[in-house]
Amino acid sequence: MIDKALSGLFKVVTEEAAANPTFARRLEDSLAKFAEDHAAARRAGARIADFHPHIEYPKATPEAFRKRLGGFDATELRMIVAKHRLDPAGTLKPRASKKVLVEHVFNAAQKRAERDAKLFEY
Amino acid sequence: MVPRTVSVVNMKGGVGKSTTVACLAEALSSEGQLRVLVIDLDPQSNVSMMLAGPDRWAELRNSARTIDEYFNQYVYGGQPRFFREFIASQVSDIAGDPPLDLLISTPEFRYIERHALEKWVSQGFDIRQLNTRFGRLTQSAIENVGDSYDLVLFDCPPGISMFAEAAIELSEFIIIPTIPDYVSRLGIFAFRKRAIRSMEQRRFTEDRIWTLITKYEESNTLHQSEAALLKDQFNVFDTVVPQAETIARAAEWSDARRTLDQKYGEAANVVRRLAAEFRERVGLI
Repeated sequence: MIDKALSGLFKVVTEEAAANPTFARRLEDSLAKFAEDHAAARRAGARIADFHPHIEYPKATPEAFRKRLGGFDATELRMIVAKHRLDPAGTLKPRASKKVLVEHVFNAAQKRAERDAKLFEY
Repeated sequence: MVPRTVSVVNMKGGVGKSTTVACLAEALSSEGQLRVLVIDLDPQSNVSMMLAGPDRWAELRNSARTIDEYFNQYVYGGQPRFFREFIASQVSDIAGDPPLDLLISTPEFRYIERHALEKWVSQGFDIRQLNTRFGRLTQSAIENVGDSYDLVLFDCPPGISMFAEAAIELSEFIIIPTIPDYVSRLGIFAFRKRAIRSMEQRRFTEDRIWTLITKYEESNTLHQSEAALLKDQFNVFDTVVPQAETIARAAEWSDARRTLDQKYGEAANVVRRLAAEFRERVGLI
Protein backbone atom coordinates (compact mmCIF):
# COMPACT_ATOMS: atom_id res chain seq x y z
CA MET A 1 0.00 0.00 0.00
CA ILE A 2 2.68 2.48 1.08
CA ASP A 3 4.84 1.62 -1.94
CA LYS A 4 2.02 2.65 -4.28
CA ALA A 5 1.40 5.84 -2.32
CA LEU A 6 5.10 6.78 -2.48
CA SER A 7 5.32 5.88 -6.14
CA GLY A 8 2.34 8.17 -6.86
CA LEU A 9 3.88 10.99 -4.82
CA PHE A 10 7.24 10.80 -6.61
CA LYS A 11 5.48 10.75 -9.97
CA VAL A 12 3.67 14.00 -9.09
CA VAL A 13 6.92 15.62 -7.89
CA THR A 14 8.82 14.47 -10.99
CA GLU A 15 6.16 15.78 -13.34
CA GLU A 16 5.97 19.12 -11.51
CA ALA A 17 9.78 19.51 -11.59
CA ALA A 18 9.78 18.87 -15.34
CA ALA A 19 6.97 21.36 -16.00
CA ASN A 20 7.88 24.07 -13.45
CA PRO A 21 11.49 25.42 -13.57
CA THR A 22 11.05 27.45 -10.35
CA PHE A 23 9.92 24.40 -8.47
CA ALA A 24 12.79 22.38 -10.02
CA ARG A 25 15.33 25.02 -8.86
CA ARG A 26 13.95 25.08 -5.31
CA LEU A 27 14.03 21.31 -5.24
CA GLU A 28 17.69 21.30 -6.35
CA ASP A 29 18.62 23.91 -3.73
CA SER A 30 16.86 21.95 -1.02
CA LEU A 31 18.56 18.69 -1.99
CA ALA A 32 21.96 20.39 -2.28
CA LYS A 33 21.63 21.93 1.18
CA PHE A 34 20.58 18.61 2.62
CA ALA A 35 23.56 16.87 1.02
CA GLU A 36 25.91 19.59 2.27
CA ASP A 37 24.56 19.47 5.85
CA HIS A 38 24.58 15.71 5.82
CA ALA A 39 28.18 15.52 4.61
CA ALA A 40 29.26 18.06 7.25
CA ALA A 41 27.50 16.07 9.99
CA ARG A 42 29.17 12.87 8.81
CA ARG A 43 32.59 14.50 8.78
CA ALA A 44 32.03 15.88 12.29
CA GLY A 45 30.74 12.49 13.45
CA ALA A 46 33.86 10.81 12.12
CA ARG A 47 36.09 13.36 13.87
CA ILE A 48 34.51 12.71 17.28
CA ALA A 49 33.93 8.97 16.84
CA ASP A 50 37.03 7.93 18.77
CA PHE A 51 36.81 10.65 21.36
CA HIS A 52 35.11 9.67 24.62
CA PRO A 53 35.38 12.49 27.20
CA HIS A 54 34.95 10.17 30.20
CA ILE A 55 37.71 7.88 28.96
CA GLU A 56 40.07 10.61 27.77
CA TYR A 57 39.82 12.90 30.80
CA PRO A 58 41.48 10.56 33.35
CA LYS A 59 44.25 9.74 30.88
CA ALA A 60 45.41 13.31 30.31
CA THR A 61 46.34 16.33 32.39
CA PRO A 62 43.50 18.87 32.67
CA GLU A 63 45.45 21.24 30.43
CA ALA A 64 46.06 18.61 27.78
CA PHE A 65 42.41 17.56 27.88
CA ARG A 66 41.26 21.15 27.51
CA LYS A 67 43.68 21.64 24.62
CA ARG A 68 42.31 18.54 22.93
CA LEU A 69 38.79 19.88 23.27
CA GLY A 70 40.00 23.09 21.69
CA GLY A 71 40.87 21.09 18.58
CA PHE A 72 37.18 20.48 17.87
CA ASP A 73 34.89 23.06 16.32
CA ALA A 74 31.58 24.11 17.88
CA THR A 75 29.55 21.64 15.81
CA GLU A 76 31.77 18.76 16.87
CA LEU A 77 31.64 19.85 20.51
CA ARG A 78 27.84 19.96 20.34
CA MET A 79 27.89 16.44 18.93
CA ILE A 80 30.11 15.29 21.81
CA VAL A 81 27.65 16.86 24.25
CA ALA A 82 24.71 15.13 22.58
CA LYS A 83 26.39 11.75 22.12
CA HIS A 84 27.53 11.47 25.72
CA ARG A 85 24.56 13.34 27.15
CA LEU A 86 26.69 15.95 28.84
CA ASP A 87 23.88 18.48 29.15
CA PRO A 88 21.03 16.50 30.71
CA ALA A 89 19.29 19.60 32.05
CA GLY A 90 19.55 21.55 28.78
CA THR A 91 21.59 24.41 30.23
CA LEU A 92 23.57 25.08 27.05
CA LYS A 93 22.20 27.74 24.75
CA PRO A 94 21.69 26.60 21.13
CA ARG A 95 24.26 29.12 19.91
CA ALA A 96 26.76 28.60 22.71
CA SER A 97 30.27 29.64 21.71
CA LYS A 98 33.11 27.19 21.26
CA LYS A 99 34.72 28.50 24.46
CA VAL A 100 31.55 27.82 26.45
CA LEU A 101 31.24 24.37 24.90
CA VAL A 102 34.83 23.48 25.72
CA GLU A 103 34.32 24.49 29.36
CA HIS A 104 31.04 22.60 29.51
CA VAL A 105 32.55 19.34 28.21
CA PHE A 106 35.57 19.80 30.45
CA ASN A 107 33.43 20.29 33.58
CA ALA A 108 31.17 17.36 32.73
CA ALA A 109 34.13 15.02 32.23
CA GLN A 110 35.80 16.25 35.40
CA LYS A 111 32.66 15.72 37.50
CA ARG A 112 32.08 12.27 36.07
CA ALA A 113 35.69 11.28 36.80
CA GLU A 114 35.32 12.50 40.39
CA ARG A 115 32.08 10.57 40.84
CA ASP A 116 33.57 7.43 39.29
CA ALA A 117 36.59 7.62 41.57
CA LYS A 118 34.22 7.52 44.54
CA LEU A 119 32.31 4.59 43.04
CA PHE A 120 35.49 2.57 42.74
CA GLU A 121 35.79 2.96 46.50
CA TYR A 122 32.14 1.96 47.02
CA MET B 1 38.71 -33.76 37.74
CA VAL B 2 37.54 -30.63 39.56
CA PRO B 3 34.95 -28.64 37.61
CA ARG B 4 35.40 -24.98 36.79
CA THR B 5 33.12 -22.91 39.03
CA VAL B 6 31.66 -19.64 37.78
CA SER B 7 29.21 -17.26 39.44
CA VAL B 8 26.98 -14.99 37.38
CA VAL B 9 26.08 -12.06 39.59
CA ASN B 10 25.08 -8.41 39.68
CA MET B 11 23.48 -6.44 42.52
CA LYS B 12 21.05 -5.05 39.97
CA GLY B 13 18.12 -7.14 38.78
CA GLY B 14 16.97 -7.45 35.17
CA VAL B 15 20.42 -7.27 33.61
CA GLY B 16 20.29 -10.76 32.11
CA LYS B 17 21.96 -12.97 34.70
CA SER B 18 19.64 -15.95 34.25
CA THR B 19 19.60 -15.54 30.48
CA THR B 20 23.40 -15.50 30.43
CA VAL B 21 23.52 -18.68 32.50
CA ALA B 22 20.95 -20.42 30.29
CA CYS B 23 22.66 -19.39 27.04
CA LEU B 24 26.09 -20.48 28.21
CA ALA B 25 24.84 -23.74 29.70
CA GLU B 26 22.90 -24.71 26.58
CA ALA B 27 25.58 -23.75 24.07
CA LEU B 28 28.43 -25.34 26.02
CA SER B 29 26.59 -28.58 26.70
CA SER B 30 24.86 -29.03 23.35
CA GLU B 31 27.62 -27.92 20.99
CA GLY B 32 30.66 -27.81 23.24
CA GLN B 33 30.20 -31.30 24.71
CA LEU B 34 30.88 -29.98 28.19
CA ARG B 35 29.12 -31.52 31.17
CA VAL B 36 27.43 -28.57 32.82
CA LEU B 37 25.65 -28.19 36.15
CA VAL B 38 23.56 -25.07 36.75
CA ILE B 39 22.76 -24.22 40.37
CA ASP B 40 19.93 -21.72 40.71
CA LEU B 41 20.43 -19.57 43.80
CA ASP B 42 17.70 -17.12 42.90
CA PRO B 43 14.27 -17.61 44.52
CA GLN B 44 12.72 -16.08 41.39
CA SER B 45 13.60 -19.45 39.82
CA ASN B 46 13.93 -17.98 36.34
CA VAL B 47 16.77 -20.14 35.11
CA SER B 48 15.07 -23.19 36.67
CA MET B 49 11.93 -22.47 34.63
CA MET B 50 13.93 -21.71 31.51
CA LEU B 51 15.97 -24.91 31.64
CA ALA B 52 13.55 -27.40 33.21
CA GLY B 53 10.25 -26.03 31.93
CA PRO B 54 7.30 -25.44 34.23
CA ASP B 55 6.08 -29.07 34.31
CA ARG B 56 9.38 -30.64 35.25
CA TRP B 57 10.08 -27.77 37.65
CA ALA B 58 6.77 -28.59 39.43
CA GLU B 59 7.66 -32.30 39.53
CA LEU B 60 11.05 -31.57 41.04
CA ARG B 61 9.52 -29.21 43.55
CA ASN B 62 6.92 -31.81 44.55
CA SER B 63 9.60 -34.45 44.97
CA ALA B 64 11.66 -32.11 47.18
CA ARG B 65 14.61 -31.98 44.78
CA THR B 66 15.32 -28.30 45.17
CA ILE B 67 18.11 -26.07 46.46
CA ASP B 68 15.93 -25.05 49.42
CA GLU B 69 15.41 -28.69 50.40
CA TYR B 70 19.14 -29.31 50.18
CA PHE B 71 19.88 -26.52 52.66
CA ASN B 72 16.76 -27.30 54.68
CA GLN B 73 18.25 -30.55 55.90
CA TYR B 74 21.10 -28.63 57.51
CA VAL B 75 18.82 -26.01 59.04
CA TYR B 76 16.01 -28.26 60.27
CA GLY B 77 17.75 -31.62 60.40
CA GLY B 78 16.11 -34.81 59.11
CA GLN B 79 17.22 -37.70 56.94
CA PRO B 80 20.38 -36.51 55.15
CA ARG B 81 20.49 -36.88 51.39
CA PHE B 82 23.48 -36.54 49.10
CA PHE B 83 23.71 -33.41 47.00
CA ARG B 84 23.57 -35.42 43.78
CA GLU B 85 20.10 -36.70 44.72
CA PHE B 86 18.73 -33.18 44.38
CA ILE B 87 20.00 -32.64 40.85
CA ALA B 88 17.76 -32.96 37.79
CA SER B 89 19.64 -34.55 34.92
CA GLN B 90 19.43 -33.64 31.25
CA VAL B 91 17.28 -30.57 31.37
CA SER B 92 16.81 -28.02 28.52
CA ASP B 93 14.58 -28.21 25.46
CA ILE B 94 17.58 -28.32 23.12
CA ALA B 95 17.56 -31.46 20.97
CA GLY B 96 20.09 -34.24 21.49
CA ASP B 97 19.90 -34.55 25.28
CA PRO B 98 22.85 -32.30 26.06
CA PRO B 99 24.72 -33.15 29.28
CA LEU B 100 23.14 -30.26 31.15
CA ASP B 101 21.96 -30.80 34.73
CA LEU B 102 20.21 -28.42 37.07
CA LEU B 103 19.48 -27.84 40.72
CA ILE B 104 16.28 -25.86 40.74
CA SER B 105 15.30 -23.07 43.05
CA THR B 106 11.81 -22.24 44.27
CA PRO B 107 10.24 -19.10 45.78
CA GLU B 108 10.50 -20.81 49.21
CA PHE B 109 14.27 -20.52 48.97
CA ARG B 110 14.04 -16.92 50.16
CA TYR B 111 12.91 -18.14 53.60
CA ILE B 112 15.80 -20.55 54.18
CA GLU B 113 18.36 -17.86 54.80
CA ARG B 114 16.07 -16.14 57.30
CA HIS B 115 15.31 -19.38 59.13
CA ALA B 116 18.95 -20.37 59.19
CA LEU B 117 19.89 -16.97 60.56
CA GLU B 118 17.24 -17.18 63.29
CA LYS B 119 18.25 -20.67 64.31
CA TRP B 120 22.01 -20.44 64.14
CA VAL B 121 22.25 -16.95 65.59
CA SER B 122 20.14 -18.15 68.54
CA GLN B 123 22.73 -20.93 68.93
CA GLY B 124 25.46 -18.34 69.28
CA PHE B 125 26.87 -18.21 65.74
CA ASP B 126 27.81 -14.82 64.33
CA ILE B 127 27.36 -13.71 60.72
CA ARG B 128 30.91 -14.55 59.70
CA GLN B 129 30.52 -18.09 61.05
CA LEU B 130 27.22 -18.43 59.19
CA ASN B 131 28.91 -17.32 55.98
CA THR B 132 31.63 -19.88 56.57
CA ARG B 133 29.02 -22.54 57.24
CA PHE B 134 27.08 -21.79 54.05
CA GLY B 135 30.35 -21.72 52.16
CA ARG B 136 31.39 -25.14 53.47
CA LEU B 137 27.99 -26.64 52.72
CA THR B 138 28.16 -25.34 49.16
CA GLN B 139 31.75 -26.50 48.73
CA SER B 140 31.02 -29.99 50.03
CA ALA B 141 28.03 -30.12 47.69
CA ILE B 142 30.23 -29.36 44.68
CA GLU B 143 32.83 -31.86 45.85
CA ASN B 144 30.07 -34.47 46.04
CA VAL B 145 29.40 -34.12 42.32
CA GLY B 146 32.71 -32.71 41.10
CA ASP B 147 33.68 -35.75 39.02
CA SER B 148 30.49 -35.53 37.01
CA TYR B 149 30.96 -32.05 35.58
CA ASP B 150 33.35 -29.87 33.64
CA LEU B 151 31.61 -26.68 34.65
CA VAL B 152 29.36 -25.49 37.47
CA LEU B 153 27.45 -22.26 36.88
CA PHE B 154 25.82 -20.43 39.79
CA ASP B 155 22.91 -18.13 38.92
CA CYS B 156 22.99 -15.65 41.79
CA PRO B 157 20.04 -13.53 42.88
CA PRO B 158 20.11 -9.73 42.66
CA GLY B 159 21.53 -8.30 45.84
CA ILE B 160 23.92 -10.35 47.89
CA SER B 161 22.48 -13.21 49.90
CA MET B 162 24.53 -15.53 52.05
CA PHE B 163 24.18 -18.16 49.36
CA ALA B 164 25.44 -15.76 46.70
CA GLU B 165 28.34 -14.90 49.01
CA ALA B 166 29.10 -18.60 49.33
CA ALA B 167 29.00 -19.04 45.56
CA ILE B 168 31.32 -16.08 45.04
CA GLU B 169 33.70 -17.42 47.69
CA LEU B 170 33.75 -20.73 45.88
CA SER B 171 33.94 -19.52 42.30
CA GLU B 172 37.12 -19.30 40.31
CA PHE B 173 35.55 -16.77 37.97
CA ILE B 174 32.79 -14.18 38.22
CA ILE B 175 30.70 -12.81 35.36
CA ILE B 176 28.80 -9.56 35.85
CA PRO B 177 26.15 -9.08 33.16
CA THR B 178 25.52 -5.37 32.78
CA ILE B 179 23.28 -3.25 30.60
CA PRO B 180 25.42 -0.30 29.47
CA ASP B 181 23.53 2.33 31.41
CA TYR B 182 24.01 4.26 34.61
CA VAL B 183 22.10 2.17 37.16
CA SER B 184 23.30 -1.18 35.83
CA ARG B 185 26.86 0.07 36.05
CA LEU B 186 26.22 1.01 39.67
CA GLY B 187 25.40 -2.66 40.24
CA ILE B 188 29.01 -3.56 39.40
CA PHE B 189 30.47 -1.10 41.87
CA ALA B 190 28.08 -2.28 44.56
CA PHE B 191 29.90 -5.57 45.03
CA ARG B 192 33.09 -5.29 43.00
CA LYS B 193 35.30 -4.70 46.02
CA ARG B 194 33.71 -7.63 47.79
CA ALA B 195 34.41 -9.87 44.79
CA ILE B 196 37.99 -8.64 44.48
CA ARG B 197 38.59 -9.34 48.17
CA SER B 198 37.24 -12.85 47.73
CA MET B 199 39.55 -13.43 44.76
CA GLU B 200 42.57 -12.04 46.57
CA GLN B 201 41.92 -14.23 49.62
CA ARG B 202 42.35 -17.21 47.35
CA ARG B 203 45.44 -15.71 45.70
CA PHE B 204 43.53 -14.99 42.51
CA THR B 205 43.55 -11.59 40.89
CA GLU B 206 40.73 -9.38 39.76
CA ASP B 207 41.33 -10.35 36.14
CA ARG B 208 39.03 -13.27 36.90
CA ILE B 209 36.09 -10.87 37.29
CA TRP B 210 34.51 -10.16 33.93
CA THR B 211 31.79 -7.82 32.78
CA LEU B 212 29.43 -8.91 30.04
CA ILE B 213 27.52 -6.20 28.18
CA THR B 214 23.92 -7.28 27.75
CA LYS B 215 20.75 -5.93 26.16
CA TYR B 216 22.88 -3.70 23.96
CA GLU B 217 21.07 -1.47 21.49
CA GLU B 218 23.41 -0.52 18.69
CA SER B 219 21.64 2.71 17.76
CA ASN B 220 21.31 3.88 21.36
CA THR B 221 23.96 6.57 21.96
CA LEU B 222 23.76 6.06 25.72
CA HIS B 223 24.63 2.39 25.23
CA GLN B 224 27.47 3.29 22.85
CA SER B 225 28.90 5.78 25.32
CA GLU B 226 28.55 3.62 28.43
CA ALA B 227 29.78 0.46 26.68
CA ALA B 228 32.97 2.25 25.65
CA LEU B 229 33.43 3.41 29.24
CA LEU B 230 32.85 -0.09 30.63
CA LYS B 231 35.44 -1.49 28.22
CA ASP B 232 37.92 1.11 29.39
CA GLN B 233 37.34 0.55 33.12
CA PHE B 234 36.64 -3.17 33.45
CA ASN B 235 37.60 -6.53 32.00
CA VAL B 236 34.81 -6.84 29.46
CA PHE B 237 33.87 -9.73 27.16
CA ASP B 238 34.47 -8.94 23.49
CA THR B 239 31.12 -10.53 22.79
CA VAL B 240 28.23 -8.16 23.34
CA VAL B 241 24.74 -9.59 23.87
CA PRO B 242 22.24 -7.47 21.94
CA GLN B 243 18.74 -6.57 23.00
CA ALA B 244 16.95 -9.15 20.89
CA GLU B 245 13.42 -10.40 20.83
CA THR B 246 14.65 -13.89 19.98
CA ILE B 247 16.70 -14.08 23.19
CA ALA B 248 13.70 -12.99 25.25
CA ARG B 249 11.48 -15.50 23.46
CA ALA B 250 14.01 -18.30 24.02
CA ALA B 251 13.19 -18.14 27.72
CA GLU B 252 9.81 -19.76 27.12
CA TRP B 253 9.86 -23.54 27.31
CA SER B 254 9.12 -25.56 24.17
CA ASP B 255 7.64 -29.04 24.56
CA ALA B 256 9.09 -29.98 21.17
CA ARG B 257 12.87 -30.28 21.19
CA ARG B 258 14.66 -27.66 19.09
CA THR B 259 18.11 -26.77 17.84
CA LEU B 260 20.16 -23.90 19.21
CA ASP B 261 19.42 -21.99 16.00
CA GLN B 262 15.70 -22.55 16.36
CA LYS B 263 15.76 -21.54 20.01
CA TYR B 264 17.85 -18.39 19.77
CA GLY B 265 17.03 -17.45 16.17
CA GLU B 266 19.21 -14.68 14.77
CA ALA B 267 20.98 -14.41 18.16
CA ALA B 268 22.22 -18.04 18.02
CA ASN B 269 25.59 -17.00 16.64
CA VAL B 270 26.01 -14.43 19.40
CA VAL B 271 25.33 -17.22 21.91
CA ARG B 272 27.96 -19.37 20.18
CA ARG B 273 30.51 -16.55 20.18
CA LEU B 274 29.85 -15.92 23.87
CA ALA B 275 30.28 -19.61 24.65
CA ALA B 276 33.53 -19.78 22.67
CA GLU B 277 34.95 -16.71 24.39
CA PHE B 278 33.84 -18.06 27.77
CA ARG B 279 35.61 -21.38 27.13
CA GLU B 280 38.77 -19.58 26.27
CA ARG B 281 38.59 -17.35 29.33
CA VAL B 282 37.99 -20.21 31.79
CA GLY B 283 40.47 -22.50 30.07
CA LEU B 284 38.03 -25.16 28.95
CA ILE B 285 39.32 -25.50 25.41
